[in-house]
Amino acid sequence: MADIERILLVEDDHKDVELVLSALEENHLANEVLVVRDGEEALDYLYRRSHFRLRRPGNPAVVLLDLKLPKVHGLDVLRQIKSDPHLRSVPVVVLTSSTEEPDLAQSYQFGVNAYVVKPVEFGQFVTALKQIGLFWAVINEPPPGSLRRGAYPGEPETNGEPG
Amino acid sequence: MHDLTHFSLADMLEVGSHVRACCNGAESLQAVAQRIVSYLYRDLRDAHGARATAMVRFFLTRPFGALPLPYQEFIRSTHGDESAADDTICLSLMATSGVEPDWNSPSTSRTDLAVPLRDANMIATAPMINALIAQFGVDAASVSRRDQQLLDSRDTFSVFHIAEARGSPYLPSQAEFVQEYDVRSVLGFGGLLPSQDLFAVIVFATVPIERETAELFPPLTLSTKLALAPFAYGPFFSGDSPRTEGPSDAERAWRMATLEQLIDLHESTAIEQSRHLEERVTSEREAREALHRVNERNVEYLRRIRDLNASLAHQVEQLEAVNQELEAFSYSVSHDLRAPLRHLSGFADLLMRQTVDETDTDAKRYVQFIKEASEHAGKLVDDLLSFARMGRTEMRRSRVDMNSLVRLVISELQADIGDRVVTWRIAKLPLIIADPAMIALVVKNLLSNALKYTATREEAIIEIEATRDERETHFSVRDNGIGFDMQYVDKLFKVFQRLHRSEDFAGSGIGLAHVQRIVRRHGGRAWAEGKVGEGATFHFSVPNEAAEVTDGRH
Repeated sequence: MADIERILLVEDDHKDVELVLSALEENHLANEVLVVRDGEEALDYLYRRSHFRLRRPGNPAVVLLDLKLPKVHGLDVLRQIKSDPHLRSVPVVVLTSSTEEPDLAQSYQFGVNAYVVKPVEFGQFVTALKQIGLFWAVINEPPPGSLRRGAYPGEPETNGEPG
Repeated sequence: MHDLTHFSLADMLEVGSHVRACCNGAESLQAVAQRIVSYLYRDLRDAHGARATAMVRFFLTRPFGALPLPYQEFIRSTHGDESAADDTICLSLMATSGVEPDWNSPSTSRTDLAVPLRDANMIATAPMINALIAQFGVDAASVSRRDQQLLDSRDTFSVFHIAEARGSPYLPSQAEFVQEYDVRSVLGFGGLLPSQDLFAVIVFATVPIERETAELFPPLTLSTKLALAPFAYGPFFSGDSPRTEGPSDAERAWRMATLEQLIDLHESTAIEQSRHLEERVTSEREAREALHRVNERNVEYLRRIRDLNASLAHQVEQLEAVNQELEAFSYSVSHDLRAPLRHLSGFADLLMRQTVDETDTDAKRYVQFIKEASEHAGKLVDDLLSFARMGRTEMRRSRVDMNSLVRLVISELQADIGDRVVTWRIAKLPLIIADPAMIALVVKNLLSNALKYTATREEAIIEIEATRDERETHFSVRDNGIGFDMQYVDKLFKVFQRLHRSEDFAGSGIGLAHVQRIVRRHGGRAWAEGKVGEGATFHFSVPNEAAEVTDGRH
């Protein structure tokens, strides 16, 4: 079965990317991650445009979104996702180093599903990511229109139409 | 009406003019005398317009033989016949005016109508008269003998002043007169008539008479003399037969001489008064100028103070700006440090997992050090962040039960204590007004330090005490740990300064600086004392009044 990219990781720092992937790997989720390196790419992916226009349709089960991104800021990406009727049901977890009040407040204003501050200590970082990955990608029932895990050929690849 | 308490030159001139007019239409010296004493009694007032005298009396010396019958009888009855010789000079009461109805006529006055002045001793029994005579520069005996030479003396007038009547030896009747009628001072003035008779006007005043006022009376004496002048040779008493001849040349000459004296005296008095006035004007002007100079100087000082204040305010502004910049900087730097530290920690960890099977123990050790170092750095950054953040947050003010707070903090530190033997001696601590979270941080810091530096002791003893005075509440945390050298006490509270080798006692070094910062923000102080090998005591105080030291922002 093909590994469906159900986790969209929006992160510009390649070291952080590597750390996140190795953490998710502990729950064997690394293969289901698609990494984009800036806000513009994230939106291109979600809207299936530019060089993602040929990707299979369907929303990720969760978006892990860093805030400090080049081109389009994370908060802007969040705002666009949550104000688009086709995308707003997609769970977004902000994963950031920022502990700034305004970032936190704005994120929840826009309707973020979770706001996680990246711990400095790696052990804690790994634990947090494992829990996030496990919850959103495995335990949580994603909204309709999300890419399904491990669909057999011939089986529908999404769980229904997006709302 | 003239105010005897503020008697001026003008007053004296007016009164003098009235007195000189008292001889108009009079028929005897006694009549003039009565008019004079009545006038003075009526006219002399105090500052509120109330009468200023209890009594005014006029005395004249006359030979016994020339006295009216009632006077002679009086003398005979009180002093015996020895005094009844015709040529005995007697001091007679010619006229009187006063508070009591009896005091307004000689015949009804109960005091001596006449006193024979047989010799100096008798004169001494009338102390004021005695003093008046003495002021002529003449001795009493001469008066009683009527020495010829007195007639020629020009200075035949004088003024006698008793500034304080109460207790004065010149006034024997203290209780029944001075106290009874509230007599405060006495003014006497008198002179010699060409007949060699001595006249005296005594004013018993119920107000204090200043020396300056008494100095204005000589001209008044002369005015009195002039008023008496038409009767200087009689008739003396009202019953006496009128004079048959007109004034003689000697009389006229005497009057002229008296007038000239009066004019001279007026002139010199006027000159003197004018001089006084000039002096006063000059000294007032000088005082004003001095005041003006002082004022100018003060204005100059004020201006300088204002300038200094302005520049001080400016400096404070600059300092605040710099402070804000520093805080913003340290905040943003600490923030930005977190990502690289996370990477350090993360990859060190991953590296460790990769080397877990290898036997290169050195490599494993190095990687372990990298991991620990990055974690330590992470804690430092967190400390720095909270330190910088503290400056930006609002301080809360509420009642803090210090005993509860200490208990809470100790329970939070249980993990660090583990199974060590720690004895806590906590006194009853007072309530304070403070920001609970910040004070908790202070206590946590101090207790955690105490625990740290007693780690080598078998039994750690940590004592927490407090005292309270009017201004502040003061807490102390004493431990029996390794202590520190007082030489370096100033460094203790500075950021990142440490007094022990890092491998002996782990710690970030920021804790005490943070403590001091918080305590200062509350308006208190923090300090410490210690002895190497004998433990340390850390103190902090918090004002009782919730006073926040503002840094301008909150």
